[in-house]
Amino acid sequence: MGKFILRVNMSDLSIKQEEVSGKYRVLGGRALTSTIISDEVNPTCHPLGPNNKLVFAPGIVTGTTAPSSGRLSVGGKSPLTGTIKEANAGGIPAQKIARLGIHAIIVEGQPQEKGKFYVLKLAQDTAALEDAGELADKGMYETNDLIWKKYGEGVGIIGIGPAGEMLMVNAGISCNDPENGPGRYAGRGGLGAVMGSKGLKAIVVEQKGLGDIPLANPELFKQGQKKLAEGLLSHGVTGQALPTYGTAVLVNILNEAGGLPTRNFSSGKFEGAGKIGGEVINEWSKTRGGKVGHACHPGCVIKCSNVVNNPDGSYHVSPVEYETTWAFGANCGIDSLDDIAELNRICNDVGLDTIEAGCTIAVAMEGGVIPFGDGKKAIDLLNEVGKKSALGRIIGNGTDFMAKAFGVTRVPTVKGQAMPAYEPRAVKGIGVTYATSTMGADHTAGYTIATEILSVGGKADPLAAAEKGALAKSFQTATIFIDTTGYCLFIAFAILDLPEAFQGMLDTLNGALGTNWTGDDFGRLGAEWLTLERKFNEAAGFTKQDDRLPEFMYYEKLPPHNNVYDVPDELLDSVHNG
Amino acid sequence: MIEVYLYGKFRAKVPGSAVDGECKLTLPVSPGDTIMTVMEKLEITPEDVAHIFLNHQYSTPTRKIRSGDRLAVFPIEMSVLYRQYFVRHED
Repeated sequence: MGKFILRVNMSDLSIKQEEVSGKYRVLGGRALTSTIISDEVNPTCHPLGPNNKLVFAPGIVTGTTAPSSGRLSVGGKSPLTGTIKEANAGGIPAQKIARLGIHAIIVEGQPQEKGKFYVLKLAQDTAALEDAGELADKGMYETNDLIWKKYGEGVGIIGIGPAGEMLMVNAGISCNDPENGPGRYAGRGGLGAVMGSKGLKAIVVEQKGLGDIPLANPELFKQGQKKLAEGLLSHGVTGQALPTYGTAVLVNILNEAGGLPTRNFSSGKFEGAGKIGGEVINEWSKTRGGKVGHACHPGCVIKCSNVVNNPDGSYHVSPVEYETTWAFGANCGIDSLDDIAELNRICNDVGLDTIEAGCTIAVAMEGGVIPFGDGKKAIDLLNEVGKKSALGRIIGNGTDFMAKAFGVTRVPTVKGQAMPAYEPRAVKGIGVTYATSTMGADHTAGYTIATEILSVGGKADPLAAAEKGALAKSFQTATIFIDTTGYCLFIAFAILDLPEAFQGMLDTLNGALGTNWTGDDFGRLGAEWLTLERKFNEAAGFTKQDDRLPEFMYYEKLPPHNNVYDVPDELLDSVHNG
Repeated sequence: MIEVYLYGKFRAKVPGSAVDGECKLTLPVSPGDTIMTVMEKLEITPEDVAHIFLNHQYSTPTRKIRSGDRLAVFPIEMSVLYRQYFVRHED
């Protein structure tokens, strides 16, 4: 637990240290950002106006030696969805913030001077706002290079590229990796635009060593850390598959399942899938250099990240994840991994979420702006964002915006946010999560309910709708709990399969906080926090009618299974109201 | 005949197959054959398999196969998938 909350007011450029009040003491990560936003932000405010706030919070055990626990949560009201938003990322800044004793950073207000940007510099016992100077308008690669030159190699960087500065609602927030690459993004929901609206170009975190994070019960913490690390290393997914192939191994698997959204969600199968997946990335790491089994932050034992090189062996981008190689690959009909890597690099540089950007380009292709499958033209198109052209501004404002601009009706979004790489007509359970998440279409919002349990398509019905809804909700509560701890969501593979690993996770939390949380609290607290987010959204004007998939999925059959989405509205409604 | 698509280390069973291309075998099918029959021919044990898809359906090795089917087999090292994502089809 951090020692203080830092409140940064961009209107008068003041910085205050505040005590961590009672209810915030045992919170971290997503529960903390969402609680602060619920407490302090009017749900009807304009997300880019002076009354929205941006909150940064390391997780409960972030900064400790707990394995794979270096996540940073960023929260605010989303300009993309209009809902409450939490996006989290790995990279090196979160651990450093926690080790400075900072429980959360609340950024509020707006600079008097429009277009003026600042850097928040954090170090032991000091916090200061400095003029961003030459950093303004710079891409994230150059920004990170300049910051390491000015403030020293190894400092943590949280920053926005030109997309965030231009208040584009698909702008993400970058965290630097151990090599100072900008590719670890709290990408979803346009929080980069909120940061831009605050006039904050970057947060620089100077901190070295393990710091001094107090643990209520060090022995219990140590036992838990050991159990969890053993579980992560012994589990097939976290100990073997992810470090070997990374998440992009899913390309071929989802393609064989007929669930890989292709050419703007018009098919579940892509003929070029074999050229853009994890097996190729693994092979290139041997033939071109680069790396698989890359850790996005110190202390990660899963190491799902990678570094992808150019054909001549020079560095190109890190990481190329499943969602990104799908978004610019199958979903745009592009089968060149080099072109996908370049599109990924452009997003990292200009500061865009790759899922939203890929879906936006695919909608542009459907709208006739460029042909499906043309990687070079897609690169030219995405580069328009950095050029600040009118077309670039349409691209930077996301999938819905692009669809309206070019009259496209097949728009794969929920609450304004583009869908990730699992087709709901083939993986029906993920559709329940997309529809009912507090965040818009988000694959990380909940472990998916099994299709057998949904029992759609006229099969036997083993559970009543309310029970199914409750089960689907339980996956979302589990996720919000993990997003609060600071652990990477991928620990779910191990903790949901291995009781010892699950207990290890709880032991680390109880060891850190002095709580006595049990498995029951895992569900109870998660449900409380989820309700808090849901209430914010209701107060912002959202109703159950917003908990639906886009209309075309209910009437367009998706090859190769030729299914429509047929999960009844009653089930979707029962998730939060069962 | 049945088309068998192999991934990961199973690609080595098809000499000359490229990692970025289709690794496909075409095998004869006899009445009563199952996915397991094909796996045995290819010396693949169930313990070494993460995911099987028959005609794009997530499947158990006990499913019967017929001429014209498409079978895909992923090794245990590629088990990156939440198990609930797909209906597991059995005969």
